[in-house]
Parts: sequence; structure tokens; C-alpha cells
Amino acid sequence: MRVSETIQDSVGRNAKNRRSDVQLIQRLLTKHGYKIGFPDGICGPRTKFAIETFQHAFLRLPDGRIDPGGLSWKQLNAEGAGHRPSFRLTKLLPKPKHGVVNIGLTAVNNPYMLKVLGSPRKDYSEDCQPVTDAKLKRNITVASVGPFKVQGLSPAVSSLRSIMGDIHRDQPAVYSALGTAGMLCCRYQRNSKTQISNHSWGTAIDLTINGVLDKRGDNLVQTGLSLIAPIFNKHGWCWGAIFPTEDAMHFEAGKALIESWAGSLK
Amino acid sequence: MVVVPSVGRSQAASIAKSCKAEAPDSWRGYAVRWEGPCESGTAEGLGALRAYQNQRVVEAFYGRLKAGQISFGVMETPGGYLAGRFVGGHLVKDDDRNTIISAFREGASGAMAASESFGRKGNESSARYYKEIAERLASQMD
Repeated sequence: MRVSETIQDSVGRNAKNRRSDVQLIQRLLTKHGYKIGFPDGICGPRTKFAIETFQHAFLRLPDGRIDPGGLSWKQLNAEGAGHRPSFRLTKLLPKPKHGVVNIGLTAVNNPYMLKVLGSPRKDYSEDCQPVTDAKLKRNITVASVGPFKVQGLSPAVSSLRSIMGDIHRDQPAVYSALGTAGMLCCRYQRNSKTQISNHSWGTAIDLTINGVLDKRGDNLVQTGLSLIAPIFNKHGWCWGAIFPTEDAMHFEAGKALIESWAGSLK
Repeated sequence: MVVVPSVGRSQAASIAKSCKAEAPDSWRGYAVRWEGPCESGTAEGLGALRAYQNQRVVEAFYGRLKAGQISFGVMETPGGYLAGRFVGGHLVKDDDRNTIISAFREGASGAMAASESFGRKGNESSARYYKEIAERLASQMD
């Protein structure tokens, strides 16, 4: 991760933002798993958000700015940067704005999932029940993805294993704090007797940090989830933080992934 | 476990003026209050156990207490929720989604029981507050 280059001036909020410096910071942020697009040397909202999110790993009050030789530079340019065990992974941040995460990804909805993958079972209730549809059932697997075991659609579980591999490499402190509140769960959506949960196909997962579930709908997100969201995005998974009702603990495979998996089911 | 006497907020059926509840160790130093049923001077059943600092709720448990101990439901902490079965004030690790869904259901019932209890006493703002918490807990899991 360490590079021999260095920045000449500050980058980020209220900074000089020389093009070559911004490009270097963008390259380093990308290596840390932040999806900020092509390193164009322009310090836009995605780059600033990534800097701020990155700083939450080691600063109580992130300022969104990286100075030459400063702590943020050292963390960004160091092997294992941002991996201090002491950082507060459940500290809450405002949810990101639209256009910062889930870029280029489309979230799935019920009619789409029913059309592409079919209904996982005939009847549903408020509780999790097993898949009964023969084809889907053949493709459900239980496996460890690294920090925990999941039950889900086979290609989704494989994808999750790759994601966890990246999290282990780029965000090991988050990796060691990760847990799950479940993946496959055939049941109705909350407050509905017609719509079924996206967990019904085993292509969505809820995560915990140190066993703590992020509160849905408060428009705040746990720092640890912010740090791994770019990695999920890179693998084609959407983060629920910017759903109409904020749901930051929730990650689900995007439309393109579902489409590609549908044809490969046994 | 810290044994704390809490202010009596029992159901109409319970006449107890004070109700004992055992708060988790992490609540040491906080004032603790139970809003829910009481049996023989001990918190028992669905309700809300809250930890106060400077008259503000800093953490809370919504759900079922058994013999004065938090048993099944949701603990609200500054970083989010801990949901499931609790033993000795600690969450028992359980990744089963049905357990977590049931815990939020129980938590919502506990918050609603607290809301109704406040409503019976004419405390409309607290009744509204705990009803909103019940609704939030009920809609946490998809």
C-alpha cells in the first residue's frame, strides 16, 4: 500500500487540491476499497466523503482534509492503514448523500425478483421459513464466508465470500467485528401481507458490528458499515443506507448480479 | 449485575410502590427505572427498563423481564440495537434470524406495554414516545 510519491499540498475540504495531489489521494483511497471512480484529480463530493469516512477510523472529529505529512496522510499511505483496533466502529455518521454510494447499481424490487427467480415458496408468514421452490432449493447453500456462516443462494454466497476476503485485506478491524443477523429468510416484508422480503431469495444480508444492529430509519450509519460499503459496491451489492428509508445494516445483490446469476442456476 | 430499586410504575393489577429490577453491569452508575408489571416487588413481564444520566435516557431495554432480569427483547445503545435472549445482563450470541425477528417483536410489545401504562396514568407525551419506539422496533427487520 505504501507509495514513494507524496502530496505537495492539502487535499479535501477547504484544501488546495492540486490536481496531481488529488489524483494520488484518489488512487490510495481506491486501494483502500473506496469506490470513487476514475482518479481524475478533481476533489468532488465522492472523494471528500471517502476521505471523511476513512478518517473516522482514527479521528474523533474528521475534517475531510489530508495534509502533507499529517496523520491522515500517514494512515492512508501506511500498510494496514485504518486498522487500529481501538477505533469506534459503531460510532454513528450521517448517512451518505445520493451519488456517493451505490453508483451505477440498481436495487431490485419484488416484481423483478419474482419474474427473474420465481417465488421461493407458495405461502409466507411473518417468520422465516425455508425455500420450497425446487429450482431455488437446489441452489441454496450453507457455507462460511469468513467471519460467519450464512445460508443463501449459492452465487450470492460465493460473491459474499469474495467481499469478505476484500474486507479482511482492506478493513481487518471491521472484519473481526462483523456478524450477521441473517441472509436467507422467506417471509413477508415488514407491515405487508402481499410483498415478500428480499431476503426470501438468499441474496441479501443484514450485518452487525460487534453484535450491534444499526438502527433503521434514523439516517445515521455505523462507521464500520461506511468503511465496508465501497467494497460491497465494488462487487455489485447495494447498500441500504440510501434506500428511501435508511437501512444501513442491509446489503443486497444489485440487479445486474441477479440477472447474471439467474441464468447460471442449476 | 447491579440490583437497583426502581420507581414503582406497575400495572393497575400490581399495587407495588417500588419494583426491583437488575440492571446490566454496563449500566452501573445510572439511575434505572422500570415501566411495566411488578410481581411481589420484582419486575416481571413486558415493559421498558431505562438507564438515566442527568435525567436523560442513555440506554434502554424493551421486552420481557423475568424475576427482575432482562430476558428477551432489544437493548437500545448509542451505536444501535442488541437483540435476542439475555442472560446475566449479557446478550446470548445467536445468528438465527427468527430469534432476532422475535426479539424485535418482543421489544415492540415491551415498548407498547410501557406506552399503554403511561397512557393509563394520563402521561400522553410519554405514551406517544414509547408508541413511536414500538413502531420503530416493529419495523427494524425485513
